[in-house]
Amino acid sequence: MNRKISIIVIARSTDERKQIRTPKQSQLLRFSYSFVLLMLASFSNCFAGDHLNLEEGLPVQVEDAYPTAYRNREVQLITGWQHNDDNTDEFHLTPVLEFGVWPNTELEISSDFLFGNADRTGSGNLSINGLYNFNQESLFWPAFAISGGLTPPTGEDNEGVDTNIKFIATKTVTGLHRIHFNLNLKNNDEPKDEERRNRYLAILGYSLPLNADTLLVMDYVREQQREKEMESNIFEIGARYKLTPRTVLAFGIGFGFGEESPGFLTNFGFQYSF
Amino acid sequence: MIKKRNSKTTILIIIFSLSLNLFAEKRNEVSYLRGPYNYDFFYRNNESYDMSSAIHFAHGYQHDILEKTPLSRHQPVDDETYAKYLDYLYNPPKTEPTMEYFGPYIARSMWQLYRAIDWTHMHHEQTYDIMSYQKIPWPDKKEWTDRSVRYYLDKFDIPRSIAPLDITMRRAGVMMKPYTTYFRNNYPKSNNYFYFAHWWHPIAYEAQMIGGNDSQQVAALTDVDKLGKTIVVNDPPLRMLLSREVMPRYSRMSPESGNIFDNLHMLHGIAYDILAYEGWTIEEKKKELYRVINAMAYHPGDEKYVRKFQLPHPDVDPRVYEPWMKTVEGDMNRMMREMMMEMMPLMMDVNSMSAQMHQKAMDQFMLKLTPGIQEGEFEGSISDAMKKVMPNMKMDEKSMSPGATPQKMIDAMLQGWHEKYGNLPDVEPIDMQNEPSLPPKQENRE
Repeated sequence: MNRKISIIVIARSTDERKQIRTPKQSQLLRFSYSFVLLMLASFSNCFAGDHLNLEEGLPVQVEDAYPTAYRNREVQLITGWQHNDDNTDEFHLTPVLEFGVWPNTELEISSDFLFGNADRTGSGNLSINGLYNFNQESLFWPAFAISGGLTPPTGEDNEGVDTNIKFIATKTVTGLHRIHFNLNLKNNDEPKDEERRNRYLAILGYSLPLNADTLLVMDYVREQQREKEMESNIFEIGARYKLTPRTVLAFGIGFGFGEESPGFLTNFGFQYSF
Repeated sequence: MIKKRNSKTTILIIIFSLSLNLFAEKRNEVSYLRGPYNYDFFYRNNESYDMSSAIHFAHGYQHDILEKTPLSRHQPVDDETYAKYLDYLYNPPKTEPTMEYFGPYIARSMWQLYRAIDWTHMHHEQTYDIMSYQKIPWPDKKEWTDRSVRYYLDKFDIPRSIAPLDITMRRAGVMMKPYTTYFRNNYPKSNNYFYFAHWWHPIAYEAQMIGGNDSQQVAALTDVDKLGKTIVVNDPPLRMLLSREVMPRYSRMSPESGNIFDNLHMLHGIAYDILAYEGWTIEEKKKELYRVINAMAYHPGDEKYVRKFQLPHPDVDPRVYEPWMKTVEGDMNRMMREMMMEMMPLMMDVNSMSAQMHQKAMDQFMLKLTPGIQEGEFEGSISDAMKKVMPNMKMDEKSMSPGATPQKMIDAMLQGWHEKYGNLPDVEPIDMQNEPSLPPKQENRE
């Protein structure tokens, strides 16, 4: 967490010295910025200045039905560790770029890098996702959104263009306590013998504010895994903290229950509007 | 290929969502204008930024309180919310909340109100940032502010108008609606907290204007923040102060922004009046509020009125809380009185009206404009009080219904404004070529 803060502080103080830089120094700084962004992009998946607007993986999997604002730009970085049922460990690093491309519409470009001794199929995949929100929640109607994604075979040991379509609903129950429902239908374009072609991931989530700057969020995730006859159940809980007007930090943990589910997982990330 | 079952589910979901898309209210949020100055106020003048955050918490919170509280409980609820506002003022959130965060009920019932408010709060942030950012040379502040005004107007469907409140208040036509003054009369502590807030916002700009780009700006802001927290919040103004009164220099530099802020601050007051009123359903309130939001929004042609106002205190020192800032009398209520006089011939035969009745009506009118309930004041709204003083008063009841535009009254008021101020010379621009040096603090003339 301290490292993220120091990056922001460095970026700011550097900007303040801009007027006395030589062109060569400026070039070097631009390269450094790009490098830092690339680094961030390679191990986190969330950047938005609004802690109320839930983003997948920051810090739990549930997403709300609201897109980032039109004309917003965000970088997100998600890091995580998962200890699996078969005693393997998976570390992941997901950089994301998110844009409010049209009113009520966001576009995301992300890449998921996997490390550790667990299955690393798909590591390095580049994905593109769009989300469209249909409505502002009313006293009666939930907010609804639909999102869809494409993952060309750009990662490790991956074939075919995988697709997914996600249905998202958000409903406030009282105050700012909200229930979220995600149903993600995934298609594996060229599955191996032991893999499913189609599978689902369903999430029931709940979020509530702890104070003006912090949101608590939890979810239950039921997933058909890529391998046939494997299912997992996870409970996750975490917090989203608005550190500055454009920076949100997120930290969460999760526990699997039932056979085939991961034993323990944790996520840390941030999102930054630029 | 997606399996048949998944295909059916997907198609059903899409059909459902598209049909929802046809009738539901859209969220339509727009992000802020990018510039090198973004969030400089947060970093450089964090205590002032915190004041703004605390004030905007209160604005969001008040909406749900008014809609969900029976009017019979106004007094204890006013005490509780005011205590909460003070607590937040001294222990502010680190970042500025949107209206939805503390007023989620109204977010789900009158979303356009929050869009209009949050978008204008974004403009507040932009303009504070531009003034705060030292790398924008002083002579360029106006150019950057104008750029921000352009973005504010061009990228949003319901920005607040750049015309002075004198025009937009007449255009809103709310004076004789059955809710007007409900908030200030029944929730005076909370109302006066917002009068304090509407002192602080323009005063902060004026502190930036007299401080210049260097450390004197920080010193001036520190002074006004301290003045606000120790003196003004405990002895708040009894009317909504206008930009032209307490930030004359900034209003000369960017009259567009000054007018936008006055129009927003008035929208807060009208929204609170409507929400506090119990005679309408929430749907009727929404209808009326959306009408007001559109009436007070930017209309093509508003440009020609931008500089049509006078500066009653052009040399005000923002670090001094002057006696004239505290009174019920001032530009806001001068405007209200003018509007009442302009409408009066539509409701009464003014020639047959006795001087005594006229005086009684104007006395009641001023009591209604004063926060709280005063001795001898009638209950209810301005129109309720006027009806009691002048039982023969004629009102077009249809135009007073929720969402209805009282066009005749609006026409009469706008004509009145043109007769009085149509030929007013434009307020002079301010010379920004030379960065100011913080002058010694003026003596309080109390």
